[in-house]
Amino acid sequence: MPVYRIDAGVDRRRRVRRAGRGRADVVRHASSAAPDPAARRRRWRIPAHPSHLVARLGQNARMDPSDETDTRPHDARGAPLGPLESQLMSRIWQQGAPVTVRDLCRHVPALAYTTVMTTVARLHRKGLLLRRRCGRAFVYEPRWARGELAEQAVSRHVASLLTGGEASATLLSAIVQSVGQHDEALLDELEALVKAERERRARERDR
Amino acid sequence: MNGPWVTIAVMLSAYALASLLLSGAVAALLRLRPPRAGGDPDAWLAVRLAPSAGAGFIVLAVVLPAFLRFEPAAPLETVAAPLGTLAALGLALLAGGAWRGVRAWLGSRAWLRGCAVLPRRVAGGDAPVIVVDAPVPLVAVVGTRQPVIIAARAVLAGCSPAEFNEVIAHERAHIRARDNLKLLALRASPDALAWLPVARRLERGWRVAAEYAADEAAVGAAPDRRLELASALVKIARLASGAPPPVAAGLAASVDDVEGRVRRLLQPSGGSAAGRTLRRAALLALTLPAAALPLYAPIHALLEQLVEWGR
Repeated sequence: MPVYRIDAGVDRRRRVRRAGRGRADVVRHASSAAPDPAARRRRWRIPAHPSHLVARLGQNARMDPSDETDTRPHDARGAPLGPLESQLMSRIWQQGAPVTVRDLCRHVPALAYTTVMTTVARLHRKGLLLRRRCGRAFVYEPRWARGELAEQAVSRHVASLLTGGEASATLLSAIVQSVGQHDEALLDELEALVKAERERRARERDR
Repeated sequence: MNGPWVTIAVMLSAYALASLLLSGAVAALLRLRPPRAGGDPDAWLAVRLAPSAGAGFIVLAVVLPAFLRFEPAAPLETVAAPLGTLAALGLALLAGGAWRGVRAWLGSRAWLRGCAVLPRRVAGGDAPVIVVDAPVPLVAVVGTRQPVIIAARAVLAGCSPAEFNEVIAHERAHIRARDNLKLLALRASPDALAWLPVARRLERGWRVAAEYAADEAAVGAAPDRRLELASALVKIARLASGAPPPVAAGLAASVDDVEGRVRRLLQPSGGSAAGRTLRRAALLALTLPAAALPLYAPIHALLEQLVEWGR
């Protein structure tokens, strides 16, 4: 049985910077939780049974349970977020109301305050969070709903394939190469030809 | 024996000259005798790749052996300005082709990696089918080494299951024919033809011929399958007519012979013309070096003039 693998993208963003002038400490911005190997590489197996094609494609909006879609949120450029960023975004969406860093820390006690603060600030820089000052603290709320962000990522990704034109670097073979104004009268004529042929075959079968 | 630089310069110069001559010949031939749409896609591919493949073959199979066979053990020669200029041109042709090829390959690979964001629908066969909410009714194969099939949800909704099956079969025919790899070769061909508009015309001609060939390979002679694919083409073309203009304008402006394909599918199968051209080209490639043996001495004399030019 053939096996296909597609990397779901690995978050390689591990920046290390000094916590402050004069301090020898080094703050890692990667997740402080142990990395999950399963989350770093996704594999999914495709059963090589053509009979599945018609059955599955006939279903509307029902995903195959073995599908391993990358459900992590993505930033404004379409790049997947890291584990910590995904965790905090999920928590912010769950709250359903503007939150402060301190509020988030209550829900993720395993993380240091500074870790949550810098991660939330990074999410704000990426354009995923809106920020306003409330007294001495910043209050954060998501710019888009979770579903909206996923839709944007999909649309952006597909549009990047389509808008390149002949100069596009992507290699693709499309069943209908040009997307433009086909003559409607010609399409009507072709549709009539197809319909006539269907009826002719139906009559021959009935005989 | 000369240093390697003179040998390399001579080979690059010979490549540049051969490529220019063959590119000019192809351009002139197409102007004098414009080809018809359709036909054998491999013939279109052979014509487009003739300048680069022909020049490369001539250099490796004829010029290099002649140069190495007859070049005397003499004091080292240097590369004069004219030879250097031609060599630089040859290098520019090769580098340009490599750049286009790498860019196309990396672009596809990057796009496929980004497919992690797409909802998937797993299906059997040569490649996974990914159904997406696309602004245009797109059904396409993307990638070369591990291609995927992208299908717009509008096409899935607009076609019957039998019609959609034939659409996917058409795309799988592209995969079996390695059409994206051929497209990569077309884009990456390191020759002067890439700088001329005729290269785009040849690519479009190949695309049309490849679509015809994929139609035939997908449905064969089965009348019912041919009818379903014809019906699907009409439906997709109708959906495409309603696509938003900014996105529509961004797609390839190639001639898409939907009418010709539909009429052809509604007729009994006429068989496929694919394959004959490459066999003929392979035969030519095997016989040319042997046929050129008596010409090694004159070729070497010409190369010596090239090296001496400008001294």
